[in-house]
Amino acid sequence: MTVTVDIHQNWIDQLKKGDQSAARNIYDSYSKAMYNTLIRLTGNSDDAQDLLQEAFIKAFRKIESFRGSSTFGAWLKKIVVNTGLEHLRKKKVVYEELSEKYEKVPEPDESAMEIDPYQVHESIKKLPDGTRTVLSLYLLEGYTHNEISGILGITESTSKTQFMRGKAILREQLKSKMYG
Amino acid sequence: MGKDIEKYIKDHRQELDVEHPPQIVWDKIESAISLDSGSHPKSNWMWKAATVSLLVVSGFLFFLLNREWKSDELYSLGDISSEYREMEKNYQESIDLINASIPYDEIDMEEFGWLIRELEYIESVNEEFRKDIEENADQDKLVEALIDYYEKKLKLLKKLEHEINRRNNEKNETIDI
Repeated sequence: MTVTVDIHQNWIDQLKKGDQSAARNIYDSYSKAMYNTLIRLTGNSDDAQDLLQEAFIKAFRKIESFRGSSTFGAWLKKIVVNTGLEHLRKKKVVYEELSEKYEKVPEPDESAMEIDPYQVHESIKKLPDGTRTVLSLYLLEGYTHNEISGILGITESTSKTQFMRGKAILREQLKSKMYG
Repeated sequence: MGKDIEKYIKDHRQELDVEHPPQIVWDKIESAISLDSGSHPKSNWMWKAATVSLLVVSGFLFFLLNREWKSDELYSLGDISSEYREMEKNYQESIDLINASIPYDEIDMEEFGWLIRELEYIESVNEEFRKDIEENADQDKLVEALIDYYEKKLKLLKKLEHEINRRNNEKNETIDI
């Protein structure tokens, strides 16, 4: 049997009893990470703000259903990612089947590149919709291509080529930022 | 620095969370959960006024749009009253939450296939039922049937979630405290 003790268990218990100050503490702890996840999924801050609000309200209203079978952060992240994906489904984002040429692009030597996290974040935001979603889910949220194909209703091969394409575009964008 | 962009992102995952949500997001969340619990934060009267106005306008728009489109859509609890609309929304949110935790692509169909088929069956019966509803149908019976559908669906989903968790726990007989 697996028992997970959450570092924020006190706040979760207080929230279940209706203590709203606990909601604020939980929001302060998790909102930044969840907001950035949503920005990378949707590509823009306005949508991310609306979805962050929606996801937290959903989580607070359903806090009784959190029984600790995973960490609270993982449970909340699932709600956040699902809220973001639902938004993308409504927007009817297209995940094109791409040529496999992206899988064959050799990895350049980037050892001399000085990469700044802010620039990486900004570059991810600028990726094309489908590519950005796949890259974010795979690289930043830890989903496998098999899981992504199931979630987005695409083939595993499309997920892989979209990811390779995203990486190639990202690399080009970062290079042009660094070297003009 | 980083040899490869993929490695860089994996190694610097936390540092990539560079943006902070604006205060207004929390204000709206606080307002929503305050309305839920019936408490009234002193500084939020403007949000409440805006929310009430939005609800009135949304209700009016819903009435107008619904009147024109009703013939093309499936009948739902939300068509009956705002109370039932809220109830349907809650059912839907509960269903979404459970669905989010079920790894559908990894389900062992030999073991849990009967639950999936049961879910598909009540889904198809409900869809047929909603399509066939006549305009002068007995409203109480409609409500009863639609609530029954959501209750059954939730019960089956909870059963599926429970069975999957039980099976996973059997596999991992470890205690991590």
